[in-house]
Amino acid sequence: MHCAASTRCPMSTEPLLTVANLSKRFPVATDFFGRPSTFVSAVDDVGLQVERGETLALVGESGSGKSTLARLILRLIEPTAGSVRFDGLDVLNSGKSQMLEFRRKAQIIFQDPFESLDPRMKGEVIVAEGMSQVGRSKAERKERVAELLDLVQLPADAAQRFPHEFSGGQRQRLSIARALAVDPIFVVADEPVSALDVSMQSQILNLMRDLQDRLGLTYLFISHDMSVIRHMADRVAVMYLGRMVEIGPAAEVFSNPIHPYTQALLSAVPSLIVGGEPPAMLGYEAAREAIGECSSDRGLQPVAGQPNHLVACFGQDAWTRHRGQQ
Amino acid sequence: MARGFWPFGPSATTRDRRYGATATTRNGRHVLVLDCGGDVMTASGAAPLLEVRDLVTSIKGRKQDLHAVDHVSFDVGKGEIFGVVGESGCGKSMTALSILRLIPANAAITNGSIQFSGTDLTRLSNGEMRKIRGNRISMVFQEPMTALDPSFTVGTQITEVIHAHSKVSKDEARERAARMLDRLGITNAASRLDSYPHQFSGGMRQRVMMALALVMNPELLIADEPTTALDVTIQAQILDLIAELRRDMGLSVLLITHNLGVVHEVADRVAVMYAGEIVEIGPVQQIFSNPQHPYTQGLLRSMPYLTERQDRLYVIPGRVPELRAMPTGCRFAARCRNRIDICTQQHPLLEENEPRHALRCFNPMPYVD
Ligand SMILES: Nc1ncnc2c1ncn2[C@@H]1O[C@H](COP(=O)(O)OP(=O)(O)OP(=O)(O)O)[C@@H](O)[C@H]1O
Ligand SMILES: Nc1ncnc2c1ncn2[C@@H]1O[C@H](COP(=O)(O)OP(=O)(O)OP(=O)(O)O)[C@@H](O)[C@H]1O
Ligand code: SF4
Ligand SMILES: [Mg+2]
Ligand SMILES: [Mg+2]
Repeated sequence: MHCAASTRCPMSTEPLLTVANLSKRFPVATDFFGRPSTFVSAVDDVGLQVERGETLALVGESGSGKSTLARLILRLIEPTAGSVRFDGLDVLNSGKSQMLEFRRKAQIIFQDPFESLDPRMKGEVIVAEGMSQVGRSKAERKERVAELLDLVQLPADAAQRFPHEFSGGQRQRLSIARALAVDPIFVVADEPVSALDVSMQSQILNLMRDLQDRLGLTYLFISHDMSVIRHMADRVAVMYLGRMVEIGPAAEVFSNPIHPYTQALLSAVPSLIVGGEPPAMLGYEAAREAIGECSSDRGLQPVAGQPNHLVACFGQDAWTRHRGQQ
Repeated sequence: MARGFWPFGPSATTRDRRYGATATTRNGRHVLVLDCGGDVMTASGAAPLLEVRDLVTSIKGRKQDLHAVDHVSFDVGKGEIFGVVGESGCGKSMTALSILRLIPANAAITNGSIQFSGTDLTRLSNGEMRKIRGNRISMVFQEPMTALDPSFTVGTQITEVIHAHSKVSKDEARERAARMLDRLGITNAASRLDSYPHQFSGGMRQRVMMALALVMNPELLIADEPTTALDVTIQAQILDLIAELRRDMGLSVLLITHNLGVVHEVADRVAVMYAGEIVEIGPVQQIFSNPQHPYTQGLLRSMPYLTERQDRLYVIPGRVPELRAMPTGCRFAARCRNRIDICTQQHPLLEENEPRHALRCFNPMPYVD
């Protein structure tokens, strides 16, 4: 079946998002002549796909490249190498008008709301900002803004307040309202509930799942909170030192984590987690058995008996070598 | 202990000026009404390092002043880790910022005292306050970018703090900064000193803030959501570091977090805030195993499980009242399933219900999970 580029193809079996061999190196120090001398491989040869209507959760150590990957996918920064395909569009090679459409369809909730909200804009302006492109009358826009502010449980006077007049969690909810305002089909949510108390957090997570059910939204959901991930994710991708080290259906990754870092993530959860036994740490040999001998340093290999659950080789050599490069 | 405190005289009500505690008789039983303070606020044994009493921080509104922090009292003992949890927007950050006098320009402390090591911080000059800030009391801000200067390298910012409060050589300061970052789990710390804040990830910035706060070995660390952007492995590392500093240096910590797991793991006592007020306060073990306030119970019930995917997460129904329209009765009443008539008519006071555990509720119910 063939579909014209950039139109949404209902029968398409192509994933909404396909990322291939994406890499980003940042210079972090310069030599005497001002030339970059040290680099950080923030994202290192990452590939993934996200199906329409699913939630792919991205977890990983702090500094492992999650936010960078998110920015690369949305082309907020340019990659060192790789490609991004979104809804039939070659994102990295598309022109202005295509990008405009892409920017509406694909939204991001930034990790640090304070940084991403214009301090001179009132709440209602922030939320309505992207909306004008969708073509609504002024009154309709106002109504929609009020509705959105209400959805994220902000007080009614939020429309008239500036970003610095909110609490941390209120600002986070403001940026969620802003992302939802333009009717996106894809939302990258970078730690969207990290500043919220658990009840408010549950409320927002329920809201996100409702919108997904109703409108078929697709999420790339970044969080360090494994119990939040458990609730939101259809699939989980684990990053470590810029690389994808494990990816698979959430149930499989949670019940049978293979990579040592994934295991560490699941075992170090603070102790209040109700009813949860941390998974046993597999020994190195046992884990090796689950994926067999790996042939390459980089490739992801299926776990025995779980064809959709892939793990990167973590042979001792591969990891010490990689650590050394960082 | 202050005069007129315990045991009570026969008179129905005595008021202790300093603590503002009131003793009354209810149902033929003497109760200590901890509207503002008392034993229950205090850490076990040790003299408190920080005593917040009756703190009111108001925001100038168009029509009226709004109490973002409403008669809040608590102590942080020496070497104690005191947790504060509560609804988003309930006044946790404002309480913390009040202690260091860093509240926004449209806000002001309009009542109460903040005793730190015997000095009332609210009475200090700005200059005296600056000497304490970053040195004896330091703060980790909720949003790192509000506190980090984007135009200076991380190394410059940390060494600046070291130089401001102590006399050490440039190299020594740099080394100290690198060591601190390293302890906070930043790989290649020495070379990352020359990076700018925007070159760090969210969680790394949070740790830079932590380094800024800890590098002078403060007596009191006020940490506002210090681990929100950290994965559990690094979170554990930082919590271990805090525990270590507490053990070795007697560090006291005021820990604001929405992460109940973190509170449970490291805090000694916890205060639960709702709509500007403390509604429950007590030892962590007691509050978590036997929460008495309906709001606290709702919070605990809202936690997602790790083991299975739930269809819907529990949420406390309704929403927090707006600052402009605080009800006269219990502020949680509209959302409470234990509500009785008196709840909407009178404002409940913070009262001790078992030793060292106090509650602001007319009709507490046993917790069934
Ligand atoms: N603009 C930049 N310049 C230089 N280095 C950068 C830049 N942005 C990110 N980095 C580096 O890239 C790495 C990955 O950062 P990224 O923000 O993607 O991590 P993250 O996984 O989102 O972490 P966190 O969970 O802490 O937010 C880090 O080492 C960071 O210091
Ligand atoms: N500069 C300001 N002007 C007006 N209102 C403000 C200002 N700063 C905070 N507020 C309001 O004061 C109340 C308390 O804010 P505070 O930042 O203390 O909340 P918080 O408990 O820290 O919440 P969160 O968990 O979301 O960070 C909130 O209702 C907030 O909207
Ligand atoms: S005072 Fe009444 S309304 Fe308020 S929390 Fe207690 S029972 Fe509920
Ligand atoms: Mg990030
Ligand atoms: Mg706050």
